[in-house]
Amino acid sequence: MSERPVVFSASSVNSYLTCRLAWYFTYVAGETGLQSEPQRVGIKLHDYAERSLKNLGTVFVCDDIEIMPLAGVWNRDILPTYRWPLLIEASFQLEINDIPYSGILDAVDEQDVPWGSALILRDLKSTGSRPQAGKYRFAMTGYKLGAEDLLGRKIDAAQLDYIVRTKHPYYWPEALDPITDDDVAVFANTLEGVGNGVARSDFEPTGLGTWACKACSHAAICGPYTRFKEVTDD
Amino acid sequence: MTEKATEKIGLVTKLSTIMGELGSVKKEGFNKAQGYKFVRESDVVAALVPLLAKHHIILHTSVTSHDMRPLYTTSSGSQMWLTTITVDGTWIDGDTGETLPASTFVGYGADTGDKGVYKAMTGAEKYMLMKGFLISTGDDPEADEKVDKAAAAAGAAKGPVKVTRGTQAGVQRGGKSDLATTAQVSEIARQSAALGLTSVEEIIPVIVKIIGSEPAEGQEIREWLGGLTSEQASGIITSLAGMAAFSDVAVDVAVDDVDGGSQDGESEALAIV
Repeated sequence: MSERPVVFSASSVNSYLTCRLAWYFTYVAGETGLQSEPQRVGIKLHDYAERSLKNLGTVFVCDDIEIMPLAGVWNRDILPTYRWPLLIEASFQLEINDIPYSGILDAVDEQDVPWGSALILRDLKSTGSRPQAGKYRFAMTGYKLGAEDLLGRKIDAAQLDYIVRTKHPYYWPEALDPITDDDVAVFANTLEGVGNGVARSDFEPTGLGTWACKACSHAAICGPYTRFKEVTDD
Repeated sequence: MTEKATEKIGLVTKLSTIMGELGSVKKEGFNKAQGYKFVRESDVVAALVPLLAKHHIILHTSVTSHDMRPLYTTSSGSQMWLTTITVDGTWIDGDTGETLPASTFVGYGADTGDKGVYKAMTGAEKYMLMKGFLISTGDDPEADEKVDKAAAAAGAAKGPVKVTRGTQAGVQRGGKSDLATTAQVSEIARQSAALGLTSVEEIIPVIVKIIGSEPAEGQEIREWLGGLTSEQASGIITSLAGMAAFSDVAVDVAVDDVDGGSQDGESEALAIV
């Protein structure tokens, strides 16, 4: 059997950068943790959006009360902005400087422009508050590389479609600054750093004392966090 | 009139004057592990000391309590200690001898050696000064983002990035895997070693007891482990961790039917670490 290295993803890199021990729980010890309400809603919304994108022109009634208001925003403000989706929920797998990386991108849409057509990478997010710009640049850089590998064409632009889950949910688009070679270099460097950390079994609880523990689905089984709480009354 | 007012200037007035003269302190520190910028204690001190000296004020601090408790064991086996201290501060006016208590601050410092208390003191003192003088960090996120991006790209520039298509089997959503990864195999080896299982003859029976299947005749241990599912590997890791918590009992039970390790077996087991 050949060696089977870890295949990273945007969420796994983010997990490691947030807390190395949280990464260990998920990707080594196989602890799935508790699915949070925002995660559950996000997955349902993605399933609904995927179905409607794969059947453009057909209106799907959303009968899930939990995502009904968000589906309404999707149908009213986001779906009509799609022209010709070339990729929908597309899996890709790459090696970035020999480090395996995988992902599932939401969509690549082809839009008419005066000089022909442009490929727009799009990613749907549901969020509790208006997001900070640039938050998902690492993930979007990976999706861009994946999309270009799958399509054999250059991606012209990237856009995040946020649905902000306030009492009256609303659409908040973020057109990213062009993803450049510098972004790809930073992406590769970050991935290498995480890969090296995992290779040397560096699974320190680096989230202690930050917001990360309070949002961590492994907090209940995390010894260092339990100890930290005992000692600090955090 | 002016001269008289200057002579009677109080400590609170002097401190508020310093507040006005201080301006903001930039976040010069950067936490690489978690990717955020922070104000360093040295930046705060460097900004404040000349102003305090100019107004003949000193800050006298004293540690009123300290506590040191085990926090966790690092991956290299060292004990991480959390030191907690309480620091009281007093502002003293060198011109008049007037004193004013500063707020009491708690500092935390995590260290595997003897530096926890100094880290805790540094943190407590930094926040005593920052909160006492209402120091804003005054950074411009947009400007910094551009600088950071350029700096990060410069730091990352090691030639063109090589991007090729990956072909690994068993990859699932979110970077999870159906099949055992090298990280899991290495962790099984590390945990086995931590339990004192140093030969193949010792390790295999324990793992067989956990997952209920054994390697094929002549199959090397690393090949066997690498052929397991990720779920099986996780199960082994969790069980070994549980055994480590009760190591005296569990290992004795697990190795009951072990015949004893050979020199060859020991070498092979160490090779999987």
